[in-house]
Amino acid sequence: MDEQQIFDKVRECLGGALGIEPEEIRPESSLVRDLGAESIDFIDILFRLERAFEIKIPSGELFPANLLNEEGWVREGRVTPEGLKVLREKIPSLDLSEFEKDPRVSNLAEQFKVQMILDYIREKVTKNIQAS
Amino acid sequence: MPLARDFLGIGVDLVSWSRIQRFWASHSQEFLERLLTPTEQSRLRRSSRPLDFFARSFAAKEATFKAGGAKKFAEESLREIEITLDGGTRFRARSHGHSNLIQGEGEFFETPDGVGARVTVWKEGQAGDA
Repeated sequence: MDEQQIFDKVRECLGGALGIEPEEIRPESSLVRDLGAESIDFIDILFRLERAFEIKIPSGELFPANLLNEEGWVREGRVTPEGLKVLREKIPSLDLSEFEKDPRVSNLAEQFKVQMILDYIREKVTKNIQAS
Repeated sequence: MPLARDFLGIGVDLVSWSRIQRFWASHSQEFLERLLTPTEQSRLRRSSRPLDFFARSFAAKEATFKAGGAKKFAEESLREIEITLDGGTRFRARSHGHSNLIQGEGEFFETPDGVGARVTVWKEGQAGDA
């Protein structure tokens, strides 16, 4: 499966989950800020990606989970340097360069971009092909 | 020994009918199996209004997580909270499968295009527990 095929399928999943035309979706689009995703949509997107690519996406592997409940990772509503380090390790496809400037937890979801999904799916699909 | 309540927070969530319907049309089975506790699954199967049950359960679970620490985007997290609807406008929330018992009480509200839930959440334990 090449890059374009992955992009087309991801756009189809996002379009279906968010009720928008796939053509409106670009790699640099923020799921929340540009495409209007809400919490129920993130679960919808996960389920659609799993079906479309025949993969299992473990909790927290694509979108961060449980971050806010870990002591030391968040202080006074902001992600700490330790929290940022964990985010980078757990979700290497998440670009945190903008977020670092104002690491309020409430800003985190805005950093989830289509490119992050594309990177994740490419790696996952490649691993599956190598394993089979 | 008396029980002590450790207040955790207040949470509010609102989901729109258009999103609920879109999600339900595609994922009703996944919702049942991956986001509901076994007790909730059996209640949903018996429900005469499954879409309404789904919408209220989802809003109540999300509101509870926001109140208790906002573990969003984690499907397993939603399954850790069990919601009991009272058939009217109120519900109870209770952590499922945890030793630190988290509980909540809340109510639903309706908007022209959706359903919402607001909840107060606390942790319950023996008085004097650390």
